Amino acid sequence: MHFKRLSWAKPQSLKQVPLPMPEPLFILCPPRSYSSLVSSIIGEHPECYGLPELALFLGDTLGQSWCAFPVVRRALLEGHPAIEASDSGPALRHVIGRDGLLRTLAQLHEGTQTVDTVSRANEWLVRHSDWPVRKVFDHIQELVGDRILVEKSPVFAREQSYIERMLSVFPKGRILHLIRHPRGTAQSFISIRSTHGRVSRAAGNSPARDPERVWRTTHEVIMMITEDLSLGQCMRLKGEALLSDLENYLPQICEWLGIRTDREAINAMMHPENSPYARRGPPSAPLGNDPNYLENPAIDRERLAKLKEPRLDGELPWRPGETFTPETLRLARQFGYQ
Amino acid sequence: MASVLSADRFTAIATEGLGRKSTTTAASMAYFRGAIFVGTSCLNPLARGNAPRVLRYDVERGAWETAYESPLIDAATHLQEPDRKPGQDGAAGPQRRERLPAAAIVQKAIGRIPRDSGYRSMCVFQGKSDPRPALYVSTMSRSGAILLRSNDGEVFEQVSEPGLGDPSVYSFRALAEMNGYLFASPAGTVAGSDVDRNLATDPKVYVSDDPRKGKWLNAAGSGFGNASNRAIYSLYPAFDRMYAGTANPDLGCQLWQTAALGKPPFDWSPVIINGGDGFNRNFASCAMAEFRGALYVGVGVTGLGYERAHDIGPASGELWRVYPDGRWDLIAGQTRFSPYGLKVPLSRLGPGLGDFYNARIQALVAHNGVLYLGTFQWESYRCVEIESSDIVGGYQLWGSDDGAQWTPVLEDGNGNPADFGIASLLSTPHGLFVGTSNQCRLLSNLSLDREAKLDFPQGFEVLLGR
Repeated sequence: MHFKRLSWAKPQSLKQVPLPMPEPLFILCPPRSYSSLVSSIIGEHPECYGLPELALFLGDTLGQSWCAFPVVRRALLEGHPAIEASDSGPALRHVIGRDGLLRTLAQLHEGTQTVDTVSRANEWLVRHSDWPVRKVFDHIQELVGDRILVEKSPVFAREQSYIERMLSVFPKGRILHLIRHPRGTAQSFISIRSTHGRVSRAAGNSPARDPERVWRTTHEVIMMITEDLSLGQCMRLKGEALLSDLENYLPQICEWLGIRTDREAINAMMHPENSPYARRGPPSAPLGNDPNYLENPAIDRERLAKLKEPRLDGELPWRPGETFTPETLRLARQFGYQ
Repeated sequence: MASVLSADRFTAIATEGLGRKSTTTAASMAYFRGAIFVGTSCLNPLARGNAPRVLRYDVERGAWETAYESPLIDAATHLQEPDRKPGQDGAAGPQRRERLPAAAIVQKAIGRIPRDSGYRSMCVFQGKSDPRPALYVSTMSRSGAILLRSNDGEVFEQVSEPGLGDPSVYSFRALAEMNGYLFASPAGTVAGSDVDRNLATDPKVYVSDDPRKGKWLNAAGSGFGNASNRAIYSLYPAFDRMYAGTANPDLGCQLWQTAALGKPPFDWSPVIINGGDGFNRNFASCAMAEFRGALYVGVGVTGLGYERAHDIGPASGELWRVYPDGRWDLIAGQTRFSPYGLKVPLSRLGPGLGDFYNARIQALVAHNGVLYLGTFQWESYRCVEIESSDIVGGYQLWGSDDGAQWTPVLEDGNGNPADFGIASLLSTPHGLFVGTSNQCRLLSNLSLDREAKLDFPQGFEVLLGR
């Protein structure tokens, strides 16, 4: 027998449990899972700080993380929107990490994101490339103050080792496992690929690039690694449920994190457009988040209220004549999709 | 404050199936006319010697008697077939290995076999034509479930057609009384040579105010109008309502309620859907009990933590506490966001009460101010499967005096890893009775290639705690 009792919080009154240090919140999901919007919403809570995609944890040090970007490149080609702004070749290596991290450091060091402040942030990164990623996070935490850092980098979930590194660095970090219906996720993949022809050509027809497979394998990796975490450390949430009923779910997220649930705090979360990372950055670091979100970061209540989960059955538009595999159906039903 | 019985207060009053090791499970219990009645079951009875019985226990004398034994019928081919799940496509997961002799050989050797596989549910009820409360018992039968009735605990009579007119009904999993009605829910399907012991072809709730006369009506539409509700697993009266818990492989179990007013069919309303937002890992609502003004509901996955027919699991069970106004708490289970608010297990115990192998909470009872629950724990199966040198595991009995803080009472099958489950719990003035489910045969079949043969006690047990 292996009785395992909760040790992380008193029941019911989570807010009464003082956290000695604000552990970061990491949002894990495949690409195209509403993570930019969700991260920004949570990040606007007065006791949180929403970050763009830092893409750390790809290596043990800041420098190693940079060098790991070619590995990331493959994931980008599977549909990450940040590729849109890059040219081919070496520049591609820097896309995600550079933009998100550069914008963060420019904003926190100098309070603004311009070509000049981004340039100085880049110099800072070069000087500190030997820093362990934990030290980089601690630096950001120090600049942000006593607020919970909210980080989302879908690229983490592509490789088991990235999440393992993240958990070794932050063994008590909170994890929000964000889910979107596989059909909706895949259609978003297809949409972004059709918008960006070069991405589509690069992705080709490899089974590994199939959006259904990316959806399934990413969730499987997340579930496998988070399975043995302390109860309540990792929470799963359907993006469709959250976004179509923010008034119900946002207080729950706050309660889970042990932060304020009052009207003022919830209202602040309803305005992700107030994030300093909610619009395109300067030309030298324009992205760091989903470009669709950057174009229109405000919550469209009317549209979200109509958000419906698609069906699992039926033909897949990107694989004519085929339906979801039994493995995908099994996992999707486990998540509560029909 | 009431105190939870400790392990040393429990005594085995029946062991090794009371002389019939093949009767594996004390599937149902009732307190009737001052005696304890236990309905036993056997997976595939092929001879008179392993026929299931309804046993009567005289507490004063400490003596067991057979109150009823399955009659024998001519062996038919379909009766000899091992279980197969209709629609199953050989999905992965723990597989039951049955080795049964061919039907022709069986018939030649024994000719007649027990009609019933067991007695799955019991209820003391007084219908319109019952001169006094009678004991009603549901059989598990491949020829269609039958309801038995006894006026005195000595003589049992058949009071229903097989399956209430549908012989494909394998059993009635739940019998419960409220407002002068006896409620019954079918479970299991006989389809030619295939038997599913749990899911129903037509998951209805039936009701009768005079079951002795065999008059039954529909109390609810099939699956409460939801085609993915594949069975009604549990029925329980509380707060002047009847609660019904479903098995639902697509969405997770549901809990429904009715005040049972007027004439049937009654108006039912959902209390909890989508497995309490744990979805289909909370496959079925297996047990309920009222305690200190709330209804406790035990849920989980049938089988060995893995529902083969629908490829669900392995998963561990949960315990919920439901209030009369429909609000509910998670007592043990997975912390989660939900449409009902943040659910944090008040016991601070996760799924399976912190034990992955507790696939479900399958028995609940309030006794002397304490709520007890019994689990189905399949760790020993896994031990054999991976050829572990140590075989550990077995059912657990937990107790709580407030419904929130739980203490393990009996662990590891009370010393027998082959005792996977607590199938029945009964509170009486004489003490708390615990009926077990033994899977020694399953373990033995799985371990045929082991050098060291397994030597665990076989057959159900009944424990008395006082």
